[in-house]
Amino acid sequence: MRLALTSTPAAPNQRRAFTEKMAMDQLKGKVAAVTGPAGSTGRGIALRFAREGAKIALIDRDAAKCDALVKEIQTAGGTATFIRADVAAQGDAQRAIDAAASEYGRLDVLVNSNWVLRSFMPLLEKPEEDFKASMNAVFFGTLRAMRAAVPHMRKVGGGRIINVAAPYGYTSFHNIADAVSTDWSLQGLTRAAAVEWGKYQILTNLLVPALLDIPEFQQYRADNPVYVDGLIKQMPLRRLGDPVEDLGGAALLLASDEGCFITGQPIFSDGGQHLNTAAFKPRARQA
Amino acid sequence: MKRLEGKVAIVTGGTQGIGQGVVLRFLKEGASVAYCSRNAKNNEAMVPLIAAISGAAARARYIQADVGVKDQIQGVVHQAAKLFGGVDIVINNAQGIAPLRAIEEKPDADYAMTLATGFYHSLWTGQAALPYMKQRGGGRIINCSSHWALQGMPYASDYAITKAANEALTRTMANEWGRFNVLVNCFVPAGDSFAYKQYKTQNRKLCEAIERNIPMSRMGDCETDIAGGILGLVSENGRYITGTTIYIDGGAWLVHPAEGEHEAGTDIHTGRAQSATGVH
Repeated sequence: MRLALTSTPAAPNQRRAFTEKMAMDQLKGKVAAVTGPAGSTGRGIALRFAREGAKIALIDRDAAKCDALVKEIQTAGGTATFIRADVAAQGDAQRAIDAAASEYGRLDVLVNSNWVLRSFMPLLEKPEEDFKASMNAVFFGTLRAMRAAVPHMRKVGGGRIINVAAPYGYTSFHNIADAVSTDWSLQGLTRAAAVEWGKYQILTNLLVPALLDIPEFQQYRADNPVYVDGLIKQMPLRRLGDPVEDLGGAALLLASDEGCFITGQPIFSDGGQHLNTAAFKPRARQA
Repeated sequence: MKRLEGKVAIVTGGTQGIGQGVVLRFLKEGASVAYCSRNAKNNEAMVPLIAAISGAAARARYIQADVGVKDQIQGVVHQAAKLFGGVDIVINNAQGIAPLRAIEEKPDADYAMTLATGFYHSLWTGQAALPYMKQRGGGRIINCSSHWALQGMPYASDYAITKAANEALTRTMANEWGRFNVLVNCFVPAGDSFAYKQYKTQNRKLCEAIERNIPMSRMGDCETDIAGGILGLVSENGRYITGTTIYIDGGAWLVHPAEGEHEAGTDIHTGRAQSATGVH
């Protein structure tokens, strides 16, 4: 599944981890619900959290992908269950979150990774339906899941909420105005929750990826090879992000003891790509 | 499993407050830690704290140095590399603080001192550490900023520009050194630091109001909360995060200050100075 970096020279140490050894129990005893795990970002975070000892409730509409993910986690020695739900549908998020907490007896972490990209289209042409679909699934789905999680988190003395932005949904990009608009609404929601729920020791952050080595991005890259290689060359770390190790690592920072005093923020897990926003010169292009 | 086993870290201003919290946390996570301060007497309190951590005494080394003097602070980096065989992590925590004064009255010497002990110190340690980090296939540098830079805190212009400079330095370092797998980030604490504790003894009511106003209703514990966030940035988990400024402040940056301004002409360590989110 990993893309080969053909025309971009690999950084000498690009895949070598800074620390070879790895703690494997940073979420031992914790229960995490992940909404949208059929997508690659939610999937990567779910896999990483399972590896760190958390029990995972996968909440999604896509039974086939999630059943496969449950098997993958279980085969690796982890614990996971699938709860079929559409968080964008009124009442479904509440039911799914309650079911997750009931399945494992508690809820400590909620990851919302519901980003959708229906089309790559200029703002002037993008149909309103795309904005509505994006707001409904991402903003309202996240809002409902978050509110449903609070009582469960209060029961265990606190919790962590990690909302995952669409790639470039925070820094902005041509032709994805629906995702950008939705992600800024998520940032607002994230801040408001941080201010209001801090007193319950519930911490809320927005995790911001950029260029990830994921199937959703492969077609775009295939269509725009020169441009994407140019982007990679601009990034400080000069490599695509791995959804499990890189994005999952940052999510783990926010979910573990390391993130116990960080709230209300966009956290960029993007190899430094956000620094170069001003340098982007993308061509308008449809995927 | 410990998160920093086999790593060598340098912590400036490591004998008190946030720096002390970072030193102790890193030692508990298995790192070798060289830490410095200007006043060697302040290290006396560190000795029993380090002795209480199993196996840490052999991995800890205190070095007396003034971070505002290039030779001295770069010497700390070279000594640490010699002692422990390399350098993986640098935490630029120390900061000299001048009395609060209005811009039109603040002497050039205050700007020079604050910049030397804040901005230049971060630059100098980074320059000295880079070759060692390249040898090890990568590294992490953490610089320190402050709410005061963001807020434009009155009468602390020297401090605010120094911290803003650290943020800008962080971004450029991240861009230039990312190719060597050297990741550079900045943190903004709201910590129960040495300076804040001192300040609180004389301004208890105000400090309690400040703490109530923070979303998490407290100042961060130096070792658990502040050093915890820093640990996240330098551990495996932070391997794709670079060029960012992260607030380790319980959400303090999101809310309006509990009280108004502090007064000019006071020493923030001992005087009646008032801060929105604490004195670092």
